[in-house]
Amino acid sequence: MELTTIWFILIAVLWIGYFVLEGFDFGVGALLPVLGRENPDDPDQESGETRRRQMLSSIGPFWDGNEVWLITAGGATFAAFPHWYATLFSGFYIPLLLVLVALIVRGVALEYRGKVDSARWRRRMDAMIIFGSVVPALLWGVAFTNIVRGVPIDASMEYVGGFWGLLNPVALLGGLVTLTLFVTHGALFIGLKTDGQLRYDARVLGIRVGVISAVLAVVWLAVIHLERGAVVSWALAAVAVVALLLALGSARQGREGWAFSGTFVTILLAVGSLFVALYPDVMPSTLNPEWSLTVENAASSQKTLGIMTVVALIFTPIVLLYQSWTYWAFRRRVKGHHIPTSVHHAAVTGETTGLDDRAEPAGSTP
Amino acid sequence: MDALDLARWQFGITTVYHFFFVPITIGLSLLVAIMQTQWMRTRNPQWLRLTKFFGKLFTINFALGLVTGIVQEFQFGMNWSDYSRFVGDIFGAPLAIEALLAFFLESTFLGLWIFGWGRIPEKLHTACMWLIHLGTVLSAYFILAANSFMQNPVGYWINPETGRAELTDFLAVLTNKVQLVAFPHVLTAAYMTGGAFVLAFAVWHLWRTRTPQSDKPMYRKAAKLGAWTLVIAGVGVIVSGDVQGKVMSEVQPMKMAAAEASTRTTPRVRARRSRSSPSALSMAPRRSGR
Amino acid sequence: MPKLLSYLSTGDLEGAVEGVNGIQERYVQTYAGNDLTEVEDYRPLMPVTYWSFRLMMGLGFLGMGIGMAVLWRLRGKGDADGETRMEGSRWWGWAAATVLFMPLFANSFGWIFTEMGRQPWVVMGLMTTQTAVSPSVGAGTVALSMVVYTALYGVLAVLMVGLSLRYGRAGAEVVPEDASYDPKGRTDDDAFVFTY
Repeated sequence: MELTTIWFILIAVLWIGYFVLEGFDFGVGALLPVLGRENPDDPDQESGETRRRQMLSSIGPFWDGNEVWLITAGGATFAAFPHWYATLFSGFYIPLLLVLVALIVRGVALEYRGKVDSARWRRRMDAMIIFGSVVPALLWGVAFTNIVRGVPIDASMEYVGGFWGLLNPVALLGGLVTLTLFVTHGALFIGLKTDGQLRYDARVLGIRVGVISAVLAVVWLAVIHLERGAVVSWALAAVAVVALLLALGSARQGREGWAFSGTFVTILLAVGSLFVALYPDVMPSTLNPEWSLTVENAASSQKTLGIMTVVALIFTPIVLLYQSWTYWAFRRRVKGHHIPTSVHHAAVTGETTGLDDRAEPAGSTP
Repeated sequence: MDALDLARWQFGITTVYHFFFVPITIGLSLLVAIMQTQWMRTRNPQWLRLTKFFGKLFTINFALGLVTGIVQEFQFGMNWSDYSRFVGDIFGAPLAIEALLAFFLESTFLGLWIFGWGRIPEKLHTACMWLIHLGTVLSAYFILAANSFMQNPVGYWINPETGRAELTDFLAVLTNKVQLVAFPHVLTAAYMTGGAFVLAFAVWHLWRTRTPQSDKPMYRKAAKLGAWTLVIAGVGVIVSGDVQGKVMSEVQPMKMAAAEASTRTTPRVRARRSRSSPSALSMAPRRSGR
Repeated sequence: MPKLLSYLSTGDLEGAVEGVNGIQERYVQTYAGNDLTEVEDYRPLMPVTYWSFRLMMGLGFLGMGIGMAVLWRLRGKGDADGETRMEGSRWWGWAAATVLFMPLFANSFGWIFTEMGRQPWVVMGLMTTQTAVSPSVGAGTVALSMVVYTALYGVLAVLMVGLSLRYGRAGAEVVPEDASYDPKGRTDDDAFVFTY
């Protein structure tokens, strides 16, 4: 196999890894205002704040490592296809700026939320987490739809479509698909990783959003593959949709492991089908097919690709190994009583806790 | 201001800002790892308290270093796309390797460290902080290799067909003579920063009358650890900086001359220059367009 | 300080160093006739290189000086006296408040020197910075992103410094004498030690 093809596949793998992993933590963040409130039917009377902390703690040890898949995808594109990297990043400037702002705001909010014990502080951080989860979940769909369907690229490999050119109806539909798909993925993750009423509520919500997502995804995948698809990409897309339906079915039966695996496979195959449809282009031009960026004309030298292949073959399995082990180490469900009631004495402010929904007073660190 | 000036200012602002957190992260991860190891060895609760105290401050700083780092990686493509096209073949490789080897290590094991108290065995938990530190050091190595190529390009040729710089020798890029002095210089400077961080908070508590007297011996320990790190690393910075100055005057004479704002050439050099042929410099590339 | 420069660059107090004007003349001839390398002026902004170089070194040495002073003050086995003599002293208060910023800002000035000293090159001898910028991105777009980053980074700095000071002031939390974090001693009924 050509090295350029190998690298196309590796970059596809990195993006797929990014979406299947960060997909669920985006979903959990986006669901904070929906699932993170008290349910009157809850026999345990779990407070909204406890539920929010359960949700955030379920992704706590993982989100940061998940995000590195994006950084690696970016770096690998830079190294293996410099023209792809240059055209894409300079062309999709404003959406990427928004994604970056969202990821910055989100990362800081996740880490800082528990550091001050005040209801107002937490509300602000929650708003940042929600914004930081919804915006990229939406924009990645917009960006990838545009990449696969093609954008105006001129003879010197520069994107000339402007910002509004990216916001076409199909791309916006793509954004809604990734958003709803990630929300479903996130809800099923909460179902898998928490307990109590929250676990049940998440499952029910996941099924509802999943149905909407399935409908949107069918339309979106059909439009894209009618334009650019081949047998293989059609097949992958079809299996992706089937996997989503199976996931929702498993969720209904309360088989949470299967349900989450289902959306995992859905995202994997749907994104995979996009890359299959894209190949051998990496950024097709709508102005002139000859101006498209392809795996050939956008690639680095054989030397670079060769060295990078060796590095990737050695270290990707190692990364997969220790990252999977993290999931194993934190395999236990986060239950309501796992959330510690004491807060660090530095976190306490005049304005407190207890105010909105926690009964326990702050500052009980020994 | 035109796009060029703005892009330069943006790079300057975001890089200087990002680099407030980088040396703190490198230096502090080492010191927290040492503190936690000391606690494991001695079971002296003072070391555990220090581990938790500086560990908390470490995570507060790490969060910002991480998120501002993503901007750095994307910025080359967003604002400097012609640069990315021209050197992506060489410059992209260390960046990708940095992500694969270093960022995964740092981020995954930081998650394990933060949430691992009481959930993974203590020895493993301590090892996590050492792995985070290893990640930060590897990260520094690869990003500095990329930067050193910009200071002193090696291991490349200019492909006349594509007009781009292409890799000929990756080992040469990783062992660039600028890199071999810049890496120790930056690493020891980061240790200085970590040492100063610990020192600042510890001395402040020693100075403060409201800090309980029973805690003072603990902060004394931290102050000494920080101070020793600061001073020993400082010696490393001086030695590596000294060597770096000599390498730099060889590969970037303009920079060193500008450091001293010296405009005139001393006589002996002029004589030497006129004897030597300008061949070394006339090998600069001719661009055939993209 | 011509002798200092000679020493730093060549290791010899009498070593010869070429001035920027001489290098400029050579570079003009060497790099002419190529879009990627030709500019009028190959000299970096000298006030920036001159002062950043000095600030880097000065702040670094100052930081080391404070470190040595602390070591001197805390020398020996640590009688109560040695610690309390720092208490309330104006000098040590200032030392604590400023010592972090010395190596921290020395790092910044070091990088400003390295990167500004390389100008007008982005890759020394191969490509000038003016040819490296994205041709398809307008000034307005870059200005927008710069405003966004600067504002955002400003807010984050306030949050970060605020939290660091809060946690720094609170001091190290007290732990039980025999604290253990071995997971074997815990059951599913126990709360986690840390969650978000």
